[in-house]
Amino acid sequence: MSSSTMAIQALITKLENKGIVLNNASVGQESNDPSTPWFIKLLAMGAGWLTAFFMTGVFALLFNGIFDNPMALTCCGVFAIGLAWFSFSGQPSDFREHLALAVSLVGQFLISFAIFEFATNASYKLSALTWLTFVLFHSFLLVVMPNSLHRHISAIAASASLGLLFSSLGWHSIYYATALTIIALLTLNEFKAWFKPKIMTPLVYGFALQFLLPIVFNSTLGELLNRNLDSHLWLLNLSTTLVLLVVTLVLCVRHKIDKPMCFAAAAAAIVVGLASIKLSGITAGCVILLLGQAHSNRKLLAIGVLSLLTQTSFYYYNLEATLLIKSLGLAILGISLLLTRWVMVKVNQQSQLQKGGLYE
Amino acid sequence: MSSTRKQLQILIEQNRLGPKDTEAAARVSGVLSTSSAWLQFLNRALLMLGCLAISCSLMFFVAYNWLEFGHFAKFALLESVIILATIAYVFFQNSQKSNLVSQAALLVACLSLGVLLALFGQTYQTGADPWQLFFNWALLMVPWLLLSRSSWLWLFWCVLLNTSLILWMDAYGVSILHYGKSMSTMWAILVLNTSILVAWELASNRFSWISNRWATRTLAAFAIYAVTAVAITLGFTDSGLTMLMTLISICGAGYVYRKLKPDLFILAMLALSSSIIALTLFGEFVFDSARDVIGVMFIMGFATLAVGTTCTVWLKDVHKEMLNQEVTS
Repeated sequence: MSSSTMAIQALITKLENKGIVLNNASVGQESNDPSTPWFIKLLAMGAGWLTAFFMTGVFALLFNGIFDNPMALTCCGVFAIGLAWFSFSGQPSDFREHLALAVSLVGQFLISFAIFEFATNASYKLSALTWLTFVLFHSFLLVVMPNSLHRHISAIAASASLGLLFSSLGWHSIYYATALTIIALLTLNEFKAWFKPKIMTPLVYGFALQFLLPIVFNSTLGELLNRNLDSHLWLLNLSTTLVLLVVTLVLCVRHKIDKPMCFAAAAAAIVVGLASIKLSGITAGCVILLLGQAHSNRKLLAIGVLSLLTQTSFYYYNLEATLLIKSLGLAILGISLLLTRWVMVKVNQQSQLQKGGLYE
Repeated sequence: MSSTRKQLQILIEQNRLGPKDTEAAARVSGVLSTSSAWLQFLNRALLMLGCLAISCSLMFFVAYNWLEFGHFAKFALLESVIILATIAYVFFQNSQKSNLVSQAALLVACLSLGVLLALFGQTYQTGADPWQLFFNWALLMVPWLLLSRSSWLWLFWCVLLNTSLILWMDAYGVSILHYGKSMSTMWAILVLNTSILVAWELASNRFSWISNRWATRTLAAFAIYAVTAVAITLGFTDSGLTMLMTLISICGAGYVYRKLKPDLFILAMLALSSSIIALTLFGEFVFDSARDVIGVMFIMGFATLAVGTTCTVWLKDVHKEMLNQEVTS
């Protein structure tokens, strides 16, 4: 019996001891070893990308003329992706998995070229329709491809394409709130019957990883893609604060916390949101941290911490405010966070005295 | 081992848990945070984020160089923060419950010290040698470090040492053996970080608070980065000393983290480093000797695939072996 099967068996015993009855089924049917650590997956992903780069180079040099014909490119791309699908569907083998991943990525490169070529011919290059096509294409691959690594790559590509779609429409100010809402909805319903972990877990990480890039980049990109656009950073910060507030309230309701404490938590969320109104990305990082903590998801917690560090580092170089204003903003934020903690500790001490522990 | 969250997801996927039981199962298995875990998390997160925000605020304030706020006032402000943080450390250190607060106070003190030294440099124009700022910062931090028993502060100290070394090498153009400025810097970083890593690993046997694996992994990442950079830059052009050093470093580290102190993450970094070095040297050789670009691209593609697969298969095997050892022990 493998160690992961033993761990599942131990969990089953624990659940049954607590009176939760489980249906009969065989354990350990997951084709892709669920215990493979993330960094090994990342290594395999990097090797796949590099191999695909060389393969695309070979293809481009061998069939140079084909790049002027989007229909032929699409056919080749679809063929490559189909081939990859068959390889993934067969018996699990590490070499075949890597080869299939590389072949699929070559197919995706070819189809991407074809989409750009179609868009150029129809003279709507880099318009919303182009990015919408990318969103649909990668979402399709996310659903169809029977491989965990591939689904993660497709999820990252789909969420990035959605960001570009929002930017090209001039809605880049609300993209981050939308991405956070999707992450929150999926994470908080992780254990509901409708949740499909194979598809939705990669999607959570795909959207969360967008927050590792400084939010200012998206704003600049939005301006590049849509030149008649003003930066609405206030809208971005307000919408992410709203998501922070809603997530806080949902968590309070889930934990059946008393009304006064719920109001205090909501007030704290608003204070953090208002204090960081000039600091894009802080509230987003806080939402990811809260969600990671709520479901013991260490990867989300790590992304949340890294996101906070990235956004603060790039805040230094943001030209929209002077260093003095930024310093004042950070001081207000720091004092608000410390005050919130102080109030929380005091309320907890008081309620522990009154009831013998509010939190237990 | 796969997390409890993942195990629960597998059970749900296999329809072993009814829709009504999933949330209860998540609670029972400890996947959904309990109220006390929330309190602990918020306590830590709000304190650390608050302290970091205030320290960054001081840094930004000094960087702004506000002339209307005199030098004396700036020094007074920073020194007051350092004194208050130190008093807070001493005050909370005595109460066992507030160890977290004392650690946060030391963090503020250490960061503010750097800002104070930067202000000193800004006021008395000592900025010609920026390495001094980081070196003095690292040096003056030592007493607090010895008190702190925090692996993250020690790691920060190592980052300061690395920064001062890089700036010092850059300022004085010191040459190690016969190498140029940038290669000598890489050699120096390699020697420094390998020494720190060895000392860290030896110390972790004795002091439990330093045995934080993520801090060790970060240090190992610095050393592995340096060895990779040296090997791919010098490669075939060197007399063979580089390749010998690379081989000894990677094989030595591989033996230590495979047999003596098993650590899959560091082994993965070593595998990545070896792959990059092997592929770069192989690519250099193939591109130099072959004339057919298509053939070269084809060979490189398959070489990458072969190396990537070999590393993944080996790491997965090591992982399984480590898990089985965990189960049997």
